[in-house]
Amino acid sequence: MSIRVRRNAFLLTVPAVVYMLLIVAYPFVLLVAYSLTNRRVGAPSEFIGLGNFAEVLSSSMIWSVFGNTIRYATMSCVVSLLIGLVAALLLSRLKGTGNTLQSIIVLPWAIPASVTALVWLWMFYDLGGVINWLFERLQLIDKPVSWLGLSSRARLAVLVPNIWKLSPFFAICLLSSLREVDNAALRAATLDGAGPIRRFFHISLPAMRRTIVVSFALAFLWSATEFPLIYILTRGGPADATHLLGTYSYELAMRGGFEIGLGAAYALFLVPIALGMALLVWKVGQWHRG
Amino acid sequence: MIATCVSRTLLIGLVLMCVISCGGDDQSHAGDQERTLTVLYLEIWADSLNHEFHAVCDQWAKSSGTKVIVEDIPLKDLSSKLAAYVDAGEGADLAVFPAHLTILYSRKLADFSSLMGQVTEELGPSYEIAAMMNRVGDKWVGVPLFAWSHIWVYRDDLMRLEALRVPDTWDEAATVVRKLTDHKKGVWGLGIGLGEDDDAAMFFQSLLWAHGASVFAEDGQTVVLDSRETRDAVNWLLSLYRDGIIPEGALGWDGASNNRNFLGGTIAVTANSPTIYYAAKHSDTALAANIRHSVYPSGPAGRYSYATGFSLSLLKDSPNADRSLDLIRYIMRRDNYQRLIAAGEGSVNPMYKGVDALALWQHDEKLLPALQSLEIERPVGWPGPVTAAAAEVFEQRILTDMFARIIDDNLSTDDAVTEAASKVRAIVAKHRP
Repeated sequence: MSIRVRRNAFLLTVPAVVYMLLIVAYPFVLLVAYSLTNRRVGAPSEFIGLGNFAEVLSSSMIWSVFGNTIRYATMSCVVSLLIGLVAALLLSRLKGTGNTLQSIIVLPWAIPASVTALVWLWMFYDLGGVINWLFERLQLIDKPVSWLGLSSRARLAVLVPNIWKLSPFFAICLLSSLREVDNAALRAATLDGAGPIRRFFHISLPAMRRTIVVSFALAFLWSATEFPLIYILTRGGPADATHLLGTYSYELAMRGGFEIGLGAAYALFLVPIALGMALLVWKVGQWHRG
Repeated sequence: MIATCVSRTLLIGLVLMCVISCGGDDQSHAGDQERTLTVLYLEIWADSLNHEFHAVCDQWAKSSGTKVIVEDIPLKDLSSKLAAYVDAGEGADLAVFPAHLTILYSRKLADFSSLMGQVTEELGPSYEIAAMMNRVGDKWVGVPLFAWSHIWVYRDDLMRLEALRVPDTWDEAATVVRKLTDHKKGVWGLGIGLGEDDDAAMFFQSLLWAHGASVFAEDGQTVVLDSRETRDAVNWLLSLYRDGIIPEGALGWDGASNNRNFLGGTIAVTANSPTIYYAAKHSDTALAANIRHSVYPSGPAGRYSYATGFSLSLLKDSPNADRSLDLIRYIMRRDNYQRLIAAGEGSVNPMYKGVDALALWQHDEKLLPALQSLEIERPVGWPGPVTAAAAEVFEQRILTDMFARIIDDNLSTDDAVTEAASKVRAIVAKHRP
């Protein structure tokens, strides 16, 4: 490659690099800087080193909020993956109408999260919500259920819209991976007497492994950093029961105590999760090369 | 060859884009900024008031040669939007602040003492509650704009069916809402949000004060939440909740849920500003005719209501301070101010005694309790002053969470109150200099 071509190639990456620096690196550096101060809205701030992190680790809230985040992301992704896998398998068998259905099922993923949250909020209303109306008509319940008012139910309820949103993402990713599976291997297995289930678990699934892991890692990260769904549905309540790291750090910094420094420290506990997922994706890349 | 041409073209295009976006005359840009004011305005449920506020600003803009951009902010986003404005020191020239935030940010806000002299000369003396929420020492840190009175809202037709009259005390209120409950008809006697919204926090404050309880003592530092009176107040509400007089789902309600459920006919009584009546007048006049209001009931310690006031304020080092003050003067001119109050149709109250709001509302007697409520309203932190700690207790929903811990986590009233008190003490300790 000539020097000129290399130089042009480098220059063409400049916008992307500038974008990453402005949108990703600069806010992150600022977040770290704030976390090392006692910055509060409307008040002077000073450097306090790791004081915020010490306060976070000594508070019971971090374990509750971190636990919520991991649980929320794990349950969302596992259930969405299973639903997406079933959908992908069904779609792979459809000819003709399959493409139309593909376009339709992607809609939940395409709709903005805030709109999704508002619709589900309306559906979850205890009085007049469509879920309670339907369950009462089917005589599954005899009085309105509070889906968002009690912590045990709220923790499950906030999962539902996220699963609804993520399942199409898994379906599309897995469908394209399924279509890449070596047909010759499948035909050979059929000739050898392997049934559909055996073919799936011994040929298709191993071939889809990389796609499954990468899409799981992405979805896990999105779920762990979820904000609009939680904030609109429950605002992290009742009594902080559904707070994730993102919503709780926002609450601390921009609402409750206006403690930007402490809120920043809480937000930084998402970094290990992000690094974990990045490591997983990198490992998958290593398998592929290996 | 083609690839080289394409990459060169892209490169040239990129450079041109950068030049165009960075270009422009600095002088003219600075001039535009001086002639533009950005106002962060609270978007309330009375559309007519929102439109009128925009209209007043537009009129001032025409007469002053200044462009005014009014940004409508929903209440639930106002605190965080204002936090960003105050912290960054830019993004707006003037803003509508919930009253406890003018106290919280008082160090960074301008001094309106001189302007308040002009305003009270124009509109009459302000209600005591306005001063409590906007004055730090002798300095006014906000110009009181309007207040939302929190009052009780009744279905008059259901009350008449049961031959009930408007309760005067909290105990009478408990009897009334029990009699109005009819689960077979899908009606709950009392529908008050007990979740993360403002309604719950306001209701709890009023309930506590009436029972002789409070979060803070008069010094604003001593936490007195852990008391027998607090337990009595909590148990009053708890008995109604456990007996099914309040919908179970109220713990998950947002600020609009009680409005929606009252308008939908599933709750007979609620506590709210007159916005439910406003909505009914515009969508269901038959229901509006059956709405009745009263001030909060009286308890063993008296009759109190939580004050939600909103004020105009700006940062003290704002570059457009003179123009912003001029706009405030224009908004607070009697004719313009009365336009706003009239347009609100009772959903907001004036903060000045010289404004005859009832006349502006066509002498609608149903709105009289909203005005009467101004005399019994108290701000967050009362009987102490409004402090940063008191504001944080309100914003963090300590009282609401206290109730949720009893219902949701099966804590006893004693343990929940003790836990809430210790949370408040931790907040006070954080704010000590």
